[in-house]
Amino acid sequence: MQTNNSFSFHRLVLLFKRSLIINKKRFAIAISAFSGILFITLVWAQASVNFSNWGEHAYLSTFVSVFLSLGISYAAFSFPAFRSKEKSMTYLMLPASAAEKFVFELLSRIVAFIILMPLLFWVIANLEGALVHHYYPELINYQLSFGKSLTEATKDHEFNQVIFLIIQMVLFGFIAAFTGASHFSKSPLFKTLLTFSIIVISYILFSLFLVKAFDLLQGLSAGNKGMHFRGNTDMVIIVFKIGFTLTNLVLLAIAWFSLKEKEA
Amino acid sequence: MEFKNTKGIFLQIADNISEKVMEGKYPPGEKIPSVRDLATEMGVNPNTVMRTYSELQSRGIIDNKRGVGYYVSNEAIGIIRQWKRQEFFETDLPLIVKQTRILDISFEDLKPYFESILNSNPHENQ
Amino acid sequence: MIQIKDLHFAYPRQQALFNSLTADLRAGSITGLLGKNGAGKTSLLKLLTGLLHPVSGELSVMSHAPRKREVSFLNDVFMVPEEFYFPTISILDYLKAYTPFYPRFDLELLDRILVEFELGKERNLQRLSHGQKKKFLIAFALATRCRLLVLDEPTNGLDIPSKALFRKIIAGYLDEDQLVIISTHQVKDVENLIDKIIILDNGEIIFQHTIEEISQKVCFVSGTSKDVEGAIYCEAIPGGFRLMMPNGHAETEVDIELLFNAITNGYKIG
Repeated sequence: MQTNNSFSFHRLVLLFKRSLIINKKRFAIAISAFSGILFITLVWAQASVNFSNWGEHAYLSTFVSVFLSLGISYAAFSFPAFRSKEKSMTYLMLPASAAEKFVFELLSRIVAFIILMPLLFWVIANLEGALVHHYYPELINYQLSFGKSLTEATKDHEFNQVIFLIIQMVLFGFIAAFTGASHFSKSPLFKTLLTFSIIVISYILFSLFLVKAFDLLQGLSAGNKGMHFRGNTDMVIIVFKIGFTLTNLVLLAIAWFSLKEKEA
Repeated sequence: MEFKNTKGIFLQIADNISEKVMEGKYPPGEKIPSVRDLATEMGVNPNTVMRTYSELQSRGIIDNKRGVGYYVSNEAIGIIRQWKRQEFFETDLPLIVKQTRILDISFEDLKPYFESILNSNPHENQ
Repeated sequence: MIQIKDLHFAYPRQQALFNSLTADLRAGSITGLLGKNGAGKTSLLKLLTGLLHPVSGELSVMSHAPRKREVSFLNDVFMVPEEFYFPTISILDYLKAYTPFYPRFDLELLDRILVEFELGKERNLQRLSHGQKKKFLIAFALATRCRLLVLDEPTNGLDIPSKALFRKIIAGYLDEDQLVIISTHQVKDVENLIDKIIILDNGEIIFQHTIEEISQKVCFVSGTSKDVEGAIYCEAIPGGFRLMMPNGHAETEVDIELLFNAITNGYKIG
């Protein structure tokens, strides 16, 4: 019997089926809870402005905060099998290649969330808006349209420029959490946050140290202020774009090797 | 099935099959269980049962009909009797004789007991 | 089927567990892996199944390097660990989720074993007792028809009738091309079931013989005196002594416990 050892779409489907069979109850509960809480939160928020003018921006701020916090927490519990030794053994010995398991985790934890969560949010928000509007006709602007919101937001030229950067930054949040989950077995969210805080703080301290040690501010004040990025925000954006994209790729590579070299 | 005595397992199984042949449970010409079936029944390693069957086959007690299974040979009863008698004289009897010497029992002392045991269990002595 | 040569393994920041393991295991056997606590039995099983990675040396299992965890390796090896986890789903759902990963899975065989173990398929796995879960996992392992089955303390937690049933099932439902490795302290549970014994001690395989070889080389007898000429090893038992002696002419039942104690105390069977 010839077995494809690198990647088989069929086995990827099997991984999804397996996950659905095992987690169907959990998914149903999570989706109902999310919908219910979101519904109540929106009603409560609209009640606080006496069901008067509501608008996309109000939906949008709720959406962005929920999207980021939920997305990062969900991604931080990727590779759920790695939370315990017994589960890890079963998962590592499951006859699917590392590539299939990696793609499955990435799809189910990040891609599926990015697609399904806004969809669910859209459905609940519009349903809630329409329902409240039915009883309180004074509530206007209750419809949520991501397309409209996006055109609204990107009307601003500056913002249009940084949209790719923002996507990479959001992805960074998700991927960092994902990679943390592939590496840490216990409390991955906390440990990932801690690790990145330490990295960022060390970086800042190191920069400050350089500035102090080599008296860089002195040079700047001597008339060279902003020599490299002077008046050029596009340049800054490009640097950050490249920086985040590379970081994301490196983090994915780390996650891949964590999975491949995992022992139990 | 419990294996109490110290004979090797494959010999214990051979004894067991031989006994069944002598008792008429497996008459000559009859098929005996396959290696796998017997291994399952007793929870014994199939390789051990295989060894038993090789031993019985080399003694001429069973025949292997290729692809069909193992059958009790026509001469099985004679062979087993011959084999067991030899085993009795070589292994069991010396132990009894040794006991009689320790307990100072003469051949004459034994005779009445021998006969009474023989008569009380006529069905076991065939 | 399994070739191990000069295998070196150590856990991170610990001294070496295996310095130079060498072994050769063939298909068509039920092999018992024995060793004292901490001798590294479970670690060796994990190395064989790719859950741990050797530091150096050769390790080939069915022509695969286990550490690569290739699909063609994983779908041909199944391990029943001592501690395991089941999701909160019914046996039926579990089968739906996991059997498609094993190309040779034999549902009919599974049904037969589940009937013998008295496990209904509609039962929820989380609501089974530890022993019942273990029986299900053993049944599943056999039904995968994987060529390598690795069982770590399989009889721990099984009730008395289940232990006999376990022996019958292992003895009865294996093919010639399969190899079963059973790591255990419960030698009575696997007596007559295993046909080969491997003893692991101080990071080395100090003994590797088939039961047939052992019973041809030595015999195990009970006696009233320990001063028997030629005796290799002897232990006191109620009412006398158990002795391991060079085999004269008749084969005796192999006393695995006595053998184990003799070997780990440095005696050789010649």
